[in-house]
Amino acid sequence: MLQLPAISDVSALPLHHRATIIADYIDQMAHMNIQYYLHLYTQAIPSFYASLGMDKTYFRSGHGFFTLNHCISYYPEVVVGETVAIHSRILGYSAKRLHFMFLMVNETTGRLASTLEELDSHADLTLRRTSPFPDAIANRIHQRMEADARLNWQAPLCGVLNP
Amino acid sequence: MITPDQLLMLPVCLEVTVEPSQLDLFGYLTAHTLVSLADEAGYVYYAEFGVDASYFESGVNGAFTLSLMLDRYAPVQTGDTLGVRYRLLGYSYKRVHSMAFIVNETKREVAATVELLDSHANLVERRTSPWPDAIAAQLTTLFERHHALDWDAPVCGVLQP
Repeated sequence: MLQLPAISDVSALPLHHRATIIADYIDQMAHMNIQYYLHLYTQAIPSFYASLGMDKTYFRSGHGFFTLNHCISYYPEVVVGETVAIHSRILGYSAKRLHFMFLMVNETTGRLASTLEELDSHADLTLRRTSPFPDAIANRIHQRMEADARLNWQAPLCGVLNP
Repeated sequence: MITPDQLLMLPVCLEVTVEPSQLDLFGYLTAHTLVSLADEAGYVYYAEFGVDASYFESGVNGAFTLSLMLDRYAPVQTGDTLGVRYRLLGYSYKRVHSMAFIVNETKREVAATVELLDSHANLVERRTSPWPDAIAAQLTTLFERHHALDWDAPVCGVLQP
C-alpha cells in the first residue's frame, strides 16, 4: 500500500498555484476530469521554474525545456467549488534533466488529491535539442535539491522515472 | 518503437487536426491536449467492451482513472492529423489497464502514448465497484483479441490491473 505524505508536510513545500474548481472542469462522472488536473499542474509550472531561476525572460532567450514523461496519480475525487493548491518537491537532477513532483492538496477536504511526477530536460530551442542547465541554474537546482533531500518523508514515486 | 502499421488492427477512436492554440510556448502540443484526446477517445474505446453512453446515463455506473502515464515520442505541428487508437493491456474484476496511442497520421509516426489504469465505479456510493458480468465477458473477448497482437506495448512497468 502506497504511503501518502501528511498534508501538513506537503503544505510546507513551496506553493505554485491555487485554484477553485469550476463547473467547466467537471465531467460525466461528476468530478474533475483528468485533463484538468494536468491543466492545473501546467498553471504551476511558470512559478516553479521561476523559483529555479528560469523565468519568462529566460525562456524568451532561446532556452526551454522538453517534458519527457508525466506520471499522474489520482486520489480522492475533486468536485466543483473545492480549492486545490499545488506544491513542489525536487526528486533529482542531472546535467540536463530535472525530476520533480507536484503535489495537489484539496484544501477544502484537507486531503491529498493527486500527484504529478515529471521528468523534464533543459533544451536549446534554437537547435531543438536537449542541452545542459547553465551553471547558475544548476546551482539553484542543487540548493533546492539539498533542502528537499532533508525532508523526513518519502515522496510517493511511480518508481520508473530517473534523471 | 511501435510503428503506425502495427496499430492498424486497433480501430481509430478519434481523429483531430492540430490547431495553433493546442501548442505551448515551446511549440509542442500541450500535455493537457494529449490527455484530453486520450480522454475523449476513451469513450469510444469503452464502447468496444459494452460501456457506452447509455451505460453511464443511469448515473449509477461510472469509471474513475487511478493513474496515468504520458510519454511523448515525436513533436507534432499545426495542421497535422492525429488519430487515437486504444489497446486493452489487462483487466481485473474492477479495473482496466489500457494504452492510448496518439498517432501523427500526417508524419506516419507515434507522437505519444497515454497509459491508463481505470476502475469501474458506483457513482452513487462514489466508490470503485466490480464490472457487471456482461461487461466482464466483453472485456475478456477484447483482451484475448488484443493480447494476440504480435508486439508489446511500451508500458511503464508499474501499472497493474
